[in-house]
Amino acid sequence: MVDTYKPVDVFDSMTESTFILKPPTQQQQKKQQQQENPSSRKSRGNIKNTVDTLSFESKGNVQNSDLTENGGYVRLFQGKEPIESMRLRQKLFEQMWTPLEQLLVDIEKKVNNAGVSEVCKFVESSYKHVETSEKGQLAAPFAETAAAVVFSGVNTGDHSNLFQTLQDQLVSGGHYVALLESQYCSSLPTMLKCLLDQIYECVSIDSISISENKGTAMLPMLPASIGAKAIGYDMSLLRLWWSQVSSRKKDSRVVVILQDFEGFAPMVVDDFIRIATNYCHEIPIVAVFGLATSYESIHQSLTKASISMLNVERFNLQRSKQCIDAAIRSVFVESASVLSFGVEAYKSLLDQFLLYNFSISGFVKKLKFAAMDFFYAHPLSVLSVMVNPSKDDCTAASASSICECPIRLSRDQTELIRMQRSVQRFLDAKVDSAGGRRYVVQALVDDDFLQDTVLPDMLRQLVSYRQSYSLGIAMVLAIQEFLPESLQKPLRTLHYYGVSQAFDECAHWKTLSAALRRMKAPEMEKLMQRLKDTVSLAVAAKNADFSFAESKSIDIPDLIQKAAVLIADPDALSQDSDDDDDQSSKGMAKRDPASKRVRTRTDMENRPFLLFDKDSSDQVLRALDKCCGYIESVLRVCLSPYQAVPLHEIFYYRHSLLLDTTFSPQPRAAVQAALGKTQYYINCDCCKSASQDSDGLGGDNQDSGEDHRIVPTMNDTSIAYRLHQECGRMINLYDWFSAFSSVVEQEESFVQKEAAQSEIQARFLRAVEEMRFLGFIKSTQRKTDHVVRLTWGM
Amino acid sequence: MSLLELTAQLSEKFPGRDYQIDQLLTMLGEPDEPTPPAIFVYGPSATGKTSVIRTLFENYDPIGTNYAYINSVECFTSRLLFERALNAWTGHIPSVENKFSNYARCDNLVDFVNVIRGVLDGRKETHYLVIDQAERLRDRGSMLLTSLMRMQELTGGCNVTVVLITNVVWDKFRPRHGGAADPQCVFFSFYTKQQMLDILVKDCPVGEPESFFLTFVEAIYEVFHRNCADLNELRHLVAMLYPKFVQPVFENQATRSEFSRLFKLCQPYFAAASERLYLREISTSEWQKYSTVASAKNNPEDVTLKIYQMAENSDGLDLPYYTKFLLIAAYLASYNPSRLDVQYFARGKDPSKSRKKRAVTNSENCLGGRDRQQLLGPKAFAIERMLAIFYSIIAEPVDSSVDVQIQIASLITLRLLTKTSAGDRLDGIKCKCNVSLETIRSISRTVRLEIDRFLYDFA
Repeated sequence: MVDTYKPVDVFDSMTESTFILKPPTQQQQKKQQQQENPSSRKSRGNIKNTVDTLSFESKGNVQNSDLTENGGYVRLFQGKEPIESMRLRQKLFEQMWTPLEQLLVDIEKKVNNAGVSEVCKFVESSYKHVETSEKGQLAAPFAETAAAVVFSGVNTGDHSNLFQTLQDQLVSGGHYVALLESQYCSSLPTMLKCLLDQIYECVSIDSISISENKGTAMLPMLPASIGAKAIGYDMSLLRLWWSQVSSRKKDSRVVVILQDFEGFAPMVVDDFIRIATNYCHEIPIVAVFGLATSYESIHQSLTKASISMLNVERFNLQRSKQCIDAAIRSVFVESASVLSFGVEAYKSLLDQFLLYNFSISGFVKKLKFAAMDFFYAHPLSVLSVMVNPSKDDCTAASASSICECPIRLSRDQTELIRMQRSVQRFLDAKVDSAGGRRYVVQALVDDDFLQDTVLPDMLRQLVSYRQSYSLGIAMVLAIQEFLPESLQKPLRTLHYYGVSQAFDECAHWKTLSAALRRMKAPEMEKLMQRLKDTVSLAVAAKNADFSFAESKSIDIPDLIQKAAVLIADPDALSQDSDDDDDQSSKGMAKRDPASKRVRTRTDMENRPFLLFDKDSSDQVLRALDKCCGYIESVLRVCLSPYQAVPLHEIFYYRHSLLLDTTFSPQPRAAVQAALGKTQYYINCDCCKSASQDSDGLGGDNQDSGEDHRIVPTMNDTSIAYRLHQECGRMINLYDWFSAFSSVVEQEESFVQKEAAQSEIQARFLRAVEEMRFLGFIKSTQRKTDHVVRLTWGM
Repeated sequence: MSLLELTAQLSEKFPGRDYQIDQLLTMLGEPDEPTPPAIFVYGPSATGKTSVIRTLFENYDPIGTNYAYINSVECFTSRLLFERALNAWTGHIPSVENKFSNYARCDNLVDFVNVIRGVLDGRKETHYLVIDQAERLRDRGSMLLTSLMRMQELTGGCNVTVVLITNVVWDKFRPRHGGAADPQCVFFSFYTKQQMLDILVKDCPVGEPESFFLTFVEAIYEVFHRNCADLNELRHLVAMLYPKFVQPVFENQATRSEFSRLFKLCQPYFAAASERLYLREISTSEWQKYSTVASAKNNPEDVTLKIYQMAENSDGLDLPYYTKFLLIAAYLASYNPSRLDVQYFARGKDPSKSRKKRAVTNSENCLGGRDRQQLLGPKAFAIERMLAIFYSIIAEPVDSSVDVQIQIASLITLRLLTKTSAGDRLDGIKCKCNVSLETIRSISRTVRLEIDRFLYDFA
């Protein structure tokens, strides 16, 4: 049996990877049946036959209307899934995604909060005299416009959110803010128009609120609202207006944010700075430049004259790496969401971020897509109702943090649960225990027993695993604080180690344990204190359930407690040692009580300071050693791979291929596959039958799984494409045409040759033209009647 | 105020500009005397053109309805220019009462001339139209400048004078069709050393002995005048550095007479900071807020280090991993000749062989060729070539997904690449790499790529 369960869905295809589902035709049905033939679809060989595809066959139209009715949810198991289960999936998705999205937005805001408030502070303090302790200050020789340069990172896609936050913050501080984007500011007039429009808009909101509050307050009239449009947009009007406003609001500033500085035409910004500096005596204009690259770009685009008119301060705002770390911590490590990511999917998620774009929004989109895929297409996603991540609910419900499932699972679903590898392993492990055999038999036979007893058991284990995993990561982070900066790894990487393999196999483990073994007693004491805090925090915050760890006969809080006591009072070891000390060290201590310390080769390597350190006694060293051992064993248990946990197939998303094809499509590969393997796209009988014929005849084709024969029923462009693959760099058009016509002429319809010839020529020309349009060939001047081939490989 | 008084007052305020002030006032004469149709004030930047003219007119016409000062950067259409001029001449101020409208609507020159005739009818005094940064007017159609120069003639004898302020000579203004009469030119020359010092001394802060300040200013001038003749920049430097210079005096570490000791204490500030202050890598407020307080107690090396850190407080260019390689590939494509691509990037070739070849070319001239690309700047390359280099320098295999293309596009929007082919051309895009060698070095260091191994003919 294949280990992986893939929800066989209508999404998983290169052309159909969208949520707009069309009722498949007769032929698609056929295609899906043909999937049993492994050569037909290479990309998805691991499809399980037992789970059948959705069936729309009999009532395509009815189903189609269902799509809109239920928000796109369909009943799985060939429409046999109970309707309540489908509704539950729908409800669960909303329940999960809405808070999660809010959480992610909050995280982004929180990470940027400090930077934003710094900028706000700068805006407020601008144009005020800087107090310094130095004497002999000169008056500034000429006016400078205050400007904040905000480094916002290269992920330009996320910037609008960021600057929106900044704008909101500034507006609430009583400033007049204009947020400009380069696409609307191609010239100085349009820029000023944008700017003044937004400032006036600010004012209109402002004046409305004032008129509500004070009633009689004299409102500064808006130039824009009274025929000013005819005059155009003019800074002198702003000055007049400001002279009325400023008397009331002393501390407000006019803030102009250029969101994407690199996109602005340098001349426009240059002129703007000149104008702003001309007015900065009268209007306190503060410019905020959003810079995606580095400070160099300011020097590159602005002239010396206008740079010397600026009084710049620099701020770092978007920290997408911190942001992603915080998101990963709360979503995956602290499991704010029921759905976690398996190795492949997590790697795809992380790669996209680190290798390509640093984009938070891309990360959120992928997360949402995965969640949708899970709840739309996975029949067992209903189980997530039982795992309740929100803390307040589960304390109320029961101590076990597993809630009752509101619906009865259908036969299909329970069968599917039993089919999971991890469930089988879970049951296998039960067999040996007392009364286990009955338990297992009942679990396999009785659906109710499975749902009411076995499922909660398994889920409890899952939840407990997640809690101890989160604790483990927290402990690693705590240990890292004692390491030099170069050895620290960010949380995203730690989590990757955590999911990809057993943590004690990764390279970072060695660094960590080596660092632990190098620690001296006072340091270790501090670390233990830190770890104790971490653990007690975890115990207090969550309805702690370390049964997972207990199942491996380790009691985390107790162990850490013991280690902490030990290091604080190493002499206690000797009294304490008899109950749980391992035999070897005890033996050693007894065997050689006279010598002060045991120096082995490993000791020399790990603790070179022992040579000089005369103070610490043997007891201290032994205590240190034991502490290291405790910490390591705790970590080893906490960070064991998720693959051991029952039901991980369901709750650890691993459909990375779907994510990849959806979010980083490969246009060239798609076009080449469409032309070179047409039958998968068109699903016609003719080409298929031809390839099956050849399978029957040759048999040797089966190895490659490819059919290189060109049959006349294929699309013209596809024929031309296949023919051109055999050519070199230069393609003789006439040869190409002869080959093309020899293929096409086999068609039955060409009985009369005379009429056919011109038609073939026309079809050939069209095919060549399409090839050129797709970028496979290019006309050349070097040889008449030849075209150049542009692509190779694949 | 008589003209003589005005001359004396202005000369007092603007040292070294006596001749120009005299020249201007001679041309202006008494308010109702005839004036030349156009006055052209030109000279290098920071020689006092704008401030002299503005102060002159403020004093010459305290009511302010006889002259209009207009900055042509701000008045980007001729309509704005005309209407502002009329507002100033008539004393009209747009406000709530008149619904923020201007005195009259002037869409074009004809309207303007007509309105002027109406406005100036019966007024005897000369009316001045002062246009600052007048070089911008050249871009607004050839007729605008011509007509402004002949405004007196067009308005039928109204007493109008146009004053243009610019740092471009008249020869560059003269319209090709030759319709404009040559204006009276007033040249603002560079200040001499003595004039410069006279002006700088005026900045002397209250309570500081002037002779002491003068010595400092003179030293600054001697150090920088060869590279920077701009008065504003010198004033900026003086304002930034003087507090540091004088600080030890207040701390009783030195007396005002110990100049050499003071200069020695101030040395790190001069050496490390002046360039950064000049380029505004450290801005005024950053300097005032964060720079170490000058003191004899501070270690000079620490001060220097602090100043370097201040200029580089951002962590530089941080790009995603593949994007870094894309940028490196773009740099290589921009600076390496394409004929050597096979030699550098072909896989499976003996690297030592290619290195030997390069060594030969370099040994001919250890400083590199005279026409090497490094000196000529980046040259345009086809995107395909860049991608080929990208796939060759990157260690692991990369799918050619849209992400790579998106990254190219975003590099272009970030101006790290400059597109040289036309904007509407979608295939055969050509780009240049817009990144300096230092930047690319630091980027390749972060991805552990030895960029120097791949660069041809770099010194």
